[in-house]
Parts: sequence; C-alpha cells; structure tokens
Amino acid sequence: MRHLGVLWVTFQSEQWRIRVLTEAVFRVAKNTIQSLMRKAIKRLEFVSDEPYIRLIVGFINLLFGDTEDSDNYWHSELWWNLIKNFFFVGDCRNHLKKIRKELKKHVDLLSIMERLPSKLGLEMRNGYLKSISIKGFFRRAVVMKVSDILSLFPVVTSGMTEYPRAFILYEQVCSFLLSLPSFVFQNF
Amino acid sequence: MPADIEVHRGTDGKYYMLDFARLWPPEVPTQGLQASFLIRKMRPELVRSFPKPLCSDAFSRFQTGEITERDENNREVVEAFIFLMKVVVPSFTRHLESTITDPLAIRNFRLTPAMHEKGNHPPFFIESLIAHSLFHFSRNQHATLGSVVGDLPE
Repeated sequence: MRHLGVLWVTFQSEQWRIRVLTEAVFRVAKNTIQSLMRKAIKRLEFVSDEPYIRLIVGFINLLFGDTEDSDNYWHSELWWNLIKNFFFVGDCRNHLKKIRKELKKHVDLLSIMERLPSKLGLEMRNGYLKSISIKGFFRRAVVMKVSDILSLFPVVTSGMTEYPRAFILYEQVCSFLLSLPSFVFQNF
Repeated sequence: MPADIEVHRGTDGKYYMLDFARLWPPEVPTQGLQASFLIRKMRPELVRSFPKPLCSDAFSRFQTGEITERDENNREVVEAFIFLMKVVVPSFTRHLESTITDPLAIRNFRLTPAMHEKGNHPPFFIESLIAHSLFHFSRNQHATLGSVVGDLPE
C-alpha cells in the first residue's frame, strides 16, 4: 500500500485518483490519531475516556473543519506525511505538488469520516454518521463535538483472527461478573 | 535467506527457525530514509511471481560474497522493483479503469486486497520486461527509488 502514490500518478480517471488519494489521506489521518493517542496515554495515564475523546475531536476538527488552521495543516504536515509514506518513488512528489494548495478538493472527506470511527474504535452518537452526509457539511469550522463520541472501544488490528483469545477472556470475565447477583459487589 | 535468520535444534530434537523479519527482499533504497532495507520489504506475491530468485540481503552489508555477486543480487532486486512499477502497477490501473466505471463502485472499492493480489502476475509480463531491458545498472551507480524509476507516466 505504500505505493499508492505510483498508483495515483498512473491512473487517468479522476474518480480513481480521488479514491487513491482518499485512501492515502485516510491512512495518514488514522495513523496520526493512533500515534497521538499512544503519546497521550503514556503521558496522562488517565483512566477516563474523556481526555482522549477531546484529543480525537480536536484533531478531527483540524483535519476536516473549514478553517485556516486546517488549510495550513493540509498544505504542510499532512502533505509531508503523504510524501514520506506514499509519494516517495520517482517523480510522484512533483505530481502531487501540482495540487498541494488544493489537496482537500481532491479527496473524498465524507468517505474518510465514515471509515475512521470503526478503525479507531469510536462509538458515535446515534445519527451522527447520517448527519455528515448532508451537503455542505464540511463547510463548517467544527465538524465534531465531544458529545458526538459516546465511548472508545478496543480495536483488533492483528488481522490474524477476528476474536483473539485475550478478548474472548475479557468477554467471559465481563459476562461472569454481570451474571453475579448485585449483593456480591456490595460485600466488597 | 537472510544472514541473520536463526535455526536452533531444540532439546526435543526438532529444528526451530526464528527471525524471519528480513526474509522478503528489500525494495530499492529510499533516499533520505536510513537503513530502509530493514523496513521496506517486497510483498511475497511479487517475490513468488518473479522468475529470478531474489536476495534477502540485497542492498545491505549482510552480503559477504564477491562484489560481482553482490552487484547481481542488487540488480535483480532493481529488476523486480522496476517490474512492479512499470508493468504490474500500470496493468493494474488499466484493468481497474476499464472494468469499474461506476462512481459508487469506485468509492467503495477495497484497494488493499486487490493490490496485494496483483503481485501474482503471469510470467509473460516479466519476460517481456526483461527482454526490453528497461534499464542499465552499473555497479558504480548508487541506486535509489528516484534514480531507477525516473519519470512515471502522466
């Protein structure tokens, strides 16, 4: 997948080019959020979801909001991330440079936004994903509020098995605890 | 096989192999990315479908053979990489553009499995590539992704 840049340069069809660039931006966004989360967890060591949800919402608004900050982010950091990870072969970088200032227009923002919650383990409030498909949604400065994310859940990315043993154990312990009568907990 | 792969004979008399991390040959070094041969590896599908065996230690100091042998190892990896860039990728994009034209189907198309599968290429393409000798690689040249691929098609 690191040769998405070559694919993008080789495609003639504008729709396929959008599909490929969207995939590259999606991957950069997902990895950036995961990296931010890892750093925040190390630093904050906070048990509650709340600070991490704030962090995610802040980044998503920086990425998708119609603001000057967002434009600067796309022209600088995001662009460099694309070059470093996907557009490093041959003259791919020069091809991408031609659209550097209007990168956002060549990407399907809705598609990225639709895919991020399941990849990052975000439980969204009912109706949020439906609301983002409204025309002109991405013309607002704030596209997500803290209250739009209900909780965070663990995501399995190993790809080896859908149900790793650790999660089966977690489910077993949870269902066992829930099956206990409430007075057991009161005695602790 | 890479120089640092390990084979151990266990107390049960069986043989165990470890450290397969560098088993697949590296891609041509990326300029500005130090020791890229350790992290940027070729896909198994591409290595399997390429007619020549490729060296896991190409472009690294793990190679201990004669300079001519090392050059040959590096050159074969460059050949495989050029094959990927100039043959596999263009045929893949042409195939997609001619078979999938519905905007919704393009939007929902799953690129990852399709791209990995495309590494399995019929040998015909490889032969035609080698026959046309797309490049010349001398041992004095320092190959990088930019220098071996050059301008990609518009």
